[in-house]
Amino acid sequence: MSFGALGANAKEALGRGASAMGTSTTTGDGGMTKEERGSSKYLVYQLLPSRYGMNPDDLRKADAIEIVVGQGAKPGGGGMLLGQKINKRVAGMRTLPEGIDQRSACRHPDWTGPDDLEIKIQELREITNWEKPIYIKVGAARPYYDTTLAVKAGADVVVLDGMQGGTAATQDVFIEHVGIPTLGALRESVDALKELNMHRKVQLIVSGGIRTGADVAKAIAMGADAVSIGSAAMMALNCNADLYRKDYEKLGTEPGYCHHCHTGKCPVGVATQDPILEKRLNPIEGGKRLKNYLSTLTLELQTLARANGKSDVRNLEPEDLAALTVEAAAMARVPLLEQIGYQD
Amino acid sequence: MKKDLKEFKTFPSSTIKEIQRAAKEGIYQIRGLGAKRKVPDFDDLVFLGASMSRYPLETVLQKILLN
Repeated sequence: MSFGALGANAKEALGRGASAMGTSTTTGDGGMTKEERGSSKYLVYQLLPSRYGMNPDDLRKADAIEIVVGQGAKPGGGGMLLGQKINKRVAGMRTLPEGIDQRSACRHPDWTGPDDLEIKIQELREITNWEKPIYIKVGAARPYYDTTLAVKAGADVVVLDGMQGGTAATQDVFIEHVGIPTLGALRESVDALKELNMHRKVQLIVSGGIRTGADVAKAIAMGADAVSIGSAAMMALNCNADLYRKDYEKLGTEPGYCHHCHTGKCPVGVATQDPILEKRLNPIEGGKRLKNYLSTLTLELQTLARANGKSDVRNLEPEDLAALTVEAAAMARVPLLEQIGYQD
Repeated sequence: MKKDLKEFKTFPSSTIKEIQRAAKEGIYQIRGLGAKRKVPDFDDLVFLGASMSRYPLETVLQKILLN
């Protein structure tokens, strides 16, 4: 999520937690904040259709650039940030008025297809002296074709975001009814990379509903190079925690059910710009909790690799998996349990 | 829900509530985070693990043996 959707403390906590584990965090829409750059060892700069806060100096300060074509929660939709979250600082970074709803474009203004995007990528490489890897992030819509086109455009990394991925705000009908689940999308994307002989050459990062080390291990076994984590990282910072119950009630919800990021009244101080609420998240404490969560994921991933006889997590493979349901077997193209043993 | 009452499968109470909210407000609902519906996911897969046909690796012991 962007700075604007998240508060500065949340951004700093994400940077601290990720850095402590030697991994990266991402700016989201709305530009780069000094808190986030300062606390993040590796920071990926997102380039979105809105171009909010975009400038070449920040591109050069980033460790990688992610061109956001779409988001799993709303593939085909643009950004949305409601007026109640747009304080003076957020408005200033976006050069838009305070307190007014912002709806940004769903299409990039300066390219319309992979041929144009290839030129855009060349521009970004030139601006950053050919030093920064370029990611392309797509929402899971038609992942086989989208991955193929991202590779054609010259991406170093494809980020595939499945429909379980979160957002700061969009129409409920978009979240629930557009896009395809991560499980099926991942398989299609891996197929595209393999057909192009680019699997493990162009990296594939998968996101959308990653919660545990088991999810990470299964994604890697199916062919992902890495995963990225959004909602679960927010939950490590106390999103939906059983605290400040009365404030959840004021929003008409309860801990465990809250999806009120759009209101700016986040009871736990994560998705808010309200200075009083924001104090509920200490960035140092939050960073420690995120680090602990990521450590746990890593240990779980290693445990599962060893249990499957693998000395490296990257050696996990689809043959290590079985599906429990017909639907999952069809989507992931992993054999159903009853078929195991009958294979040649 | 009362035991002897039968809910509409097509119109569960959450759907009725949403129809009535839309009828009142005349605009779609905006919200954050991700999908709440159930879709096939990684929980529908399991690892086979190892036993005889494939051996598991030790943790500390394996490191000692490898070194």
